[in-house]
Amino acid sequence: MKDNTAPLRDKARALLADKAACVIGHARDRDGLRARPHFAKDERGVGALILDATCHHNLAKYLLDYPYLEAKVGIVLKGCDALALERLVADRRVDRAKVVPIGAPCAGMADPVKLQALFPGGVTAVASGPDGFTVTTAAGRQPPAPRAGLLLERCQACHQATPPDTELLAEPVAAPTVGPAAEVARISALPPADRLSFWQGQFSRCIRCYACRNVCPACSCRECVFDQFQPNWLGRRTGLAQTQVFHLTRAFHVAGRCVDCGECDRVCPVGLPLSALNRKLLQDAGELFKLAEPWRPGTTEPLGTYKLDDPEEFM
Amino acid sequence: MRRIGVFVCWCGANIGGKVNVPAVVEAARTFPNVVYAEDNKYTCSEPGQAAIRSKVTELKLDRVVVASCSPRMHELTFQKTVETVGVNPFLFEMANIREHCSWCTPDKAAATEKAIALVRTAVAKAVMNDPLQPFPIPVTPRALVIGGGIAGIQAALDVADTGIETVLVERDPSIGGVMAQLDKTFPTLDCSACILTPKMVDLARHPKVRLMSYAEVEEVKGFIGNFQVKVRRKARYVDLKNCKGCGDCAAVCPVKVPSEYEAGLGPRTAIYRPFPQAVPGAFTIDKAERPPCVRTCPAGVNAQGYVALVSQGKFKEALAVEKRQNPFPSICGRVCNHPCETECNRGQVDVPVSICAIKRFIADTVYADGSEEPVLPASAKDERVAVVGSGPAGLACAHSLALEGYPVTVFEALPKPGGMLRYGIPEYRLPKAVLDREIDQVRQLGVEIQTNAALGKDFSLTDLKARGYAAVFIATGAHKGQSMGVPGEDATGCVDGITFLRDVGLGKPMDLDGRVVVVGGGNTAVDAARSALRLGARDVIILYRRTRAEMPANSWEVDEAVHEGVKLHLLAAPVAVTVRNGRVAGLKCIRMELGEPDASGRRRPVPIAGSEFDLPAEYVVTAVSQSPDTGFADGVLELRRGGIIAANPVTLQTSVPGVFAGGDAVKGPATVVEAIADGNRAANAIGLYLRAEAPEASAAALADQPQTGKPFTIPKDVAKVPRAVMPTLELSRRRRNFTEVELGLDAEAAMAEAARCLNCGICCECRECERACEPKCIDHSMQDETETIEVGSIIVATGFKPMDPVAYGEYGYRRYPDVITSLEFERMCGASGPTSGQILRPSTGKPPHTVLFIQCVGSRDEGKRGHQYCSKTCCMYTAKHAELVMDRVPGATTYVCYMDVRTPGKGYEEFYRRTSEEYGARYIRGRVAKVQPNGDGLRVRVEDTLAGRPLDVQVDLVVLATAMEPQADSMDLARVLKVGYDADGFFTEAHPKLRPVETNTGGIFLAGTCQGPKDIPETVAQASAAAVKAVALLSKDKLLASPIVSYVNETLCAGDFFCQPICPYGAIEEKELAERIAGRPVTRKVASVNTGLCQGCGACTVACRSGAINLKGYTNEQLLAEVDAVCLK
Amino acid sequence: MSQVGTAAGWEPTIVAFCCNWCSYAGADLAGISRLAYPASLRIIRVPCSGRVNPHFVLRAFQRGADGVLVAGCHPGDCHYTTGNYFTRRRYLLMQRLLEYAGVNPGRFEVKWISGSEGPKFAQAAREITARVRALGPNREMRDEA
Repeated sequence: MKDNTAPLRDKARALLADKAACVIGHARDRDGLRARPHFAKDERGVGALILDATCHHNLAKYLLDYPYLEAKVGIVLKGCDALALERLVADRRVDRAKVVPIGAPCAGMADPVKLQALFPGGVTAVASGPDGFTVTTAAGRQPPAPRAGLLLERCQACHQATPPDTELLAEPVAAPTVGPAAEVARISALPPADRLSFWQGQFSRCIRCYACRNVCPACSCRECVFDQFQPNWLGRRTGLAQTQVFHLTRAFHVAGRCVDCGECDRVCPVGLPLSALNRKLLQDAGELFKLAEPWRPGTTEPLGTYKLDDPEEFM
Repeated sequence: MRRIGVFVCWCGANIGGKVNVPAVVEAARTFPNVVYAEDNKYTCSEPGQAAIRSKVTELKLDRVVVASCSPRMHELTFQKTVETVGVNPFLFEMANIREHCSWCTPDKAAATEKAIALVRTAVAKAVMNDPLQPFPIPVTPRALVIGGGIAGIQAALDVADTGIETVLVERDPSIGGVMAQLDKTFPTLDCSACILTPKMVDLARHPKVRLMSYAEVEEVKGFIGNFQVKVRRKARYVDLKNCKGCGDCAAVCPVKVPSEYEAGLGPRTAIYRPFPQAVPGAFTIDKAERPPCVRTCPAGVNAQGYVALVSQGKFKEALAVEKRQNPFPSICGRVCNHPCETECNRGQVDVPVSICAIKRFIADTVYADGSEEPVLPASAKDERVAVVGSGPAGLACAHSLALEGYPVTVFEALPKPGGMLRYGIPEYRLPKAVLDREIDQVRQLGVEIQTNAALGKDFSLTDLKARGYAAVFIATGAHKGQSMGVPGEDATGCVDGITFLRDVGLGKPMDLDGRVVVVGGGNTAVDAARSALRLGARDVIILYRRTRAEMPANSWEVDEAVHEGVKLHLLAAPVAVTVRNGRVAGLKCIRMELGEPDASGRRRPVPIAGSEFDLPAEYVVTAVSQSPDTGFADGVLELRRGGIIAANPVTLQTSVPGVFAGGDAVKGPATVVEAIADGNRAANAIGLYLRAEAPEASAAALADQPQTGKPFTIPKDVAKVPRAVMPTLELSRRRRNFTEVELGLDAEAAMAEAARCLNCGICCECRECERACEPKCIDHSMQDETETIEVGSIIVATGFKPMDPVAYGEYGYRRYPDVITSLEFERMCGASGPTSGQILRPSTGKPPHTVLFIQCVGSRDEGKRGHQYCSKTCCMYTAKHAELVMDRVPGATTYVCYMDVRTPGKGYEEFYRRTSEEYGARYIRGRVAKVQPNGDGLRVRVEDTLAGRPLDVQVDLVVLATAMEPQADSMDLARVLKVGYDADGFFTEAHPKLRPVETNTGGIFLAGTCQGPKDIPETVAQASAAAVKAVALLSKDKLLASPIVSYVNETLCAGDFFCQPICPYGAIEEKELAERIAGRPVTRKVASVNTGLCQGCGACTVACRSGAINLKGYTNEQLLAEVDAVCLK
Repeated sequence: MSQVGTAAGWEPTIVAFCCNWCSYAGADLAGISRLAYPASLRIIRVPCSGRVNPHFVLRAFQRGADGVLVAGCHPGDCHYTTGNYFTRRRYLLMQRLLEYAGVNPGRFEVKWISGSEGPKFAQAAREITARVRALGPNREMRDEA
């Protein structure tokens, strides 16, 4: 998105003045390619807030850290993050009344890795305009680079560019039209043996760090089954079978509930295509039970209801 | 560390024969937590149980595993055993190594290995078992019995006699069930009514019984000891308390439908009592949903009502019914386009009832003999109402307002009132005398009609206000003829249809010499054409651009026109009027073909290039369309496209408050009956307006009432009867005069025609019963009521229905009148039945000399048409029927075609022997192949399987012993009650031998044939048994409920309540949990299980991602342990 | 002793979750009627097929089961009226997920078997065993031996 830092800071100031406990946003990380989550509680904090094409973190889940607050919490929400908030509200884990959403229309985030490749010399800022990303380097402002080449993977299948019914920091923008990832179709098309070895290959690299779970807005249990000892749902070893069970169970737990924000893919340190599991379930649920995919606020949870005329394959 | 004892059972050779029991014991000893293992010959036997008890005490075992038969067999036995020595029953586990192992595994080694695995699994689960305590739940000391047949009656009486309140719900108007339809009962041949009716009376009189007849169970909530049952009490339309059962109402009811009680052999009226000894004795009105004729009529005229009354010769009553919604029956009886007939169900049998002709007949007849009872207006009111336009809409409005007591003035632009009725519809269809007669009736109600007073010319809306009219209804119609828009239309001899017909109506002298071409296909065109003929036209041509099928005119009018000599020139349209020295000389036309359908759905005509042709003519009448002339609106009234007045579709109020509008002026050209409908509606709305109830607010009050009642199904065996033909004036006498063409039906024809009505609404709402009822306890506006009753136990006694044998085509039921079912035969034998006890052939009404009984019709039939089961009662009642025949018809011969004769029961075999040996009924063993008419009787082809030869028997009457079937909706009830049912739809008992009257749902019991075919003694016995079960339950003040229920780990519960929608019992509730976070009191919502409601299915546990909700007895811990153990190699 | 890998003379392990009211009774009936079916199928009793957590199915495979059968009442006949409708939805999804993850679809099955369908139960047991026997030991998802 184009740099909306200034309006954001004004808004943050106003909120804090209005007794907000905190404003959750982004701050510059170690270089111009990356941002990190930032919690502004005072003027100094507000000064650190930024909002540009590097702010890809989905911040919604940090709201769980403020469960019993009297005061309100401000939070920067891109289109995808807004869905995540809806998810948490639907799961009754976040009290909407306590949240002040700060709408950040987003035409897609820049992929730090791709940028790195394009500007080995390093980058100081990345903004997004109508005709692509405008990158500033030590050498100064560069001519706009076409968005398509630099988009973050998940932004290519953007479901929602502008957060609905929230106060926006900028004019609404259209979702990047690069078309959804065909990963699921590709994997499904593999011969069974290859499909098995593909996934086993992926899962065998899993280190069970649970980053995917921790970032997932649909994973908000007070204590995750994988952290429980009694019952011992799953051992702690990283044996292949265990990681398979872990990932399939995790996927099933968000079956049809996933908002497809793609954060799991982004945070996975070993780069597993986790959203390809969630999307598979979304698509199946969509086809089998005739639902909107991904999950949308107000729609029933596919596994929380049934129809007498659901497909019958078990006679 | 647990201390588990394992006891492996040989079950004689049942297990020991296949499983190496010692090996299993050996293996068991090696399992973790097992401190002892032994084998027993029969663990369930007393020595076996003793061994368990002693070992538990001796070795301080804290858990016990028995490997034997299915837990469904002996789990309870062993749970009790361990309980006696202080081990909680839920610390006991069972391994099913008989049904699931020794009995289904031929290979010994495999069976032993499997047995070991199963024991290992049971031990693994036992390790995880927790002690559980059943918890008490309160009991509502009241019983519900569903069904008022002999089973229900018996059960209710037995329960009530113990002093426990009992509610009996019966869906029919009376209790009694099928037994009340029976004549004699086998084997004692005592009279069914004589033994049943006293019980019915006892029930009605019993202080502890509440009888809810004509009511149905809609919903059952709750659980054993605590059910909430929603009962819908169907509207009887008769006040149960005050009805004296005198029957005066039935005497005057014009509607006859087949009587259910008489198995269709006799009729009953719409207001009826199923049978004289009915309990309660009150009458009931049977209403189906509003019949199609009434539903379709724009004015909602009660056609079924007056038709039914005509069938009874009650003409003046019929007229009164007509006039409820339509003040102009004799007019509509002539000119209505009667959509009611199009919808008439009779059309699906043969031809629709000639409703319109009947309507006309009523009015003409009653007017003629002057017997109409005048309807008196309500007390005079002050607010005056002006009606502009005296067409059907205006006059209908004036009429109803006048009846309400409002002073009404009607303003008419033309010299005489009637609007299009007078100036649009020619005399040969609607004689002016007829018109004047009904207009005068409106006048007689005090309505003043000012003619030659045109709105916008002679007065304005403001004038009306000034003259003190509180409300105005504008019904100025659509009197402006549209031109064709082709050159030459202004030539002399060219006129538009409306003007033409108006001049005819005004009686302007016209002498049409030559050819008249009428352009258009609507009623105006046809009227103009037929009028032209009468005015002496040489020949008359209707020029229409589509085909005849698309002509908007009433088809029967077009038929008459053609009949009278009008020629149709189809698929052609005018291009120009050929004018010679200022006069019409003809029409230049072009041929058309049909293209794509247009907005109206009719195919659009497309000109064929170069197909122009000339049509010489002396006169051209253009009847293409007409529109309202609303010049008077001049900005005051809001108009819509085409100059029609904008009015609220429901209230008819215009943009100006207090000014209403309807009829063609709002709709554009439409029908008379639609205009009348608008008139009534407007009157209604104006009334509300004047009573200062804003019409908008009352839109609902004005909207049509919803249709209620059960849907009507056309009876299967309606005989085809030709429709009455309307006599018409012969052709020769139609020239040069406007004498009415249709002459009307005579009384005989009208009554015969009326008798064709199927009474689709059943009750026709003629309200004759209301008038006849002295205690005034009839109320046609009664509504169904629902009531929720609290009971602790439910006895289901919904009975059976006899199968419809029509599927057995070879027996010819319904094809041949002399083939009847056993229930029909019962009614025939009934002294109070349709034949007052005489056995007669339906075809001749004479006694049969030979009667043949066919058994197992629909029973013991592997095929698709019938049931596999034996209906159990047919052998005996057929023997009874045979005896009755031979008793009542001296010298009669009876044959019984049977598969096997089954007579298990006290005195049954003796009875059968008497029938066959003393009475000499001839029993033929074999299925009947065919029944076909032969001479004046029937020939029955049957194979005598004993003699091994086919027989042909000539008989007078065939009686089919039809199977007993579950009620058609038994499965729906099963779902409401959450009880099981079998493939046929009979409710299933909890155990075929040991729990024959219980269901799998606690607190719900079964009695009688709803559980399976039974005779009366068996039914009564089961009813008493069910009563005892219910009483045993209800006499406790609390129950112990199974502890296998869900529970919530509140620390884990995140409160997303995904479990809630899964629970079929609504057992999961929200609970607010108070906690302290960092010393600060906070609250959060968690799930909480209502253990009274929870039935322990555990479906909720899967919905919980963190496993916060868990199922006692089948916890996640236990099941995971089982999975691990069972997979271990 | 573990026989994984040694296909010869190898017999699969098949875990069958059976609802107490229909399928478990159906299995009882199969036994009462002395209908033979492979001993490789072992039954775990649950109150309702709706109680069978997909995690249990994965656990069975992880622990070395070569096939898993989930059996419940026919839709409409659930003793708890609606439990199996949820089962149906859950396993329509799970079945597809397993296949997608490379687990051979022949290893997992859901079947509606009523208390009166002893023969159907025996038949189902024979079929799934035969199928799994043909597929050989579960190598798709099991803890290392």
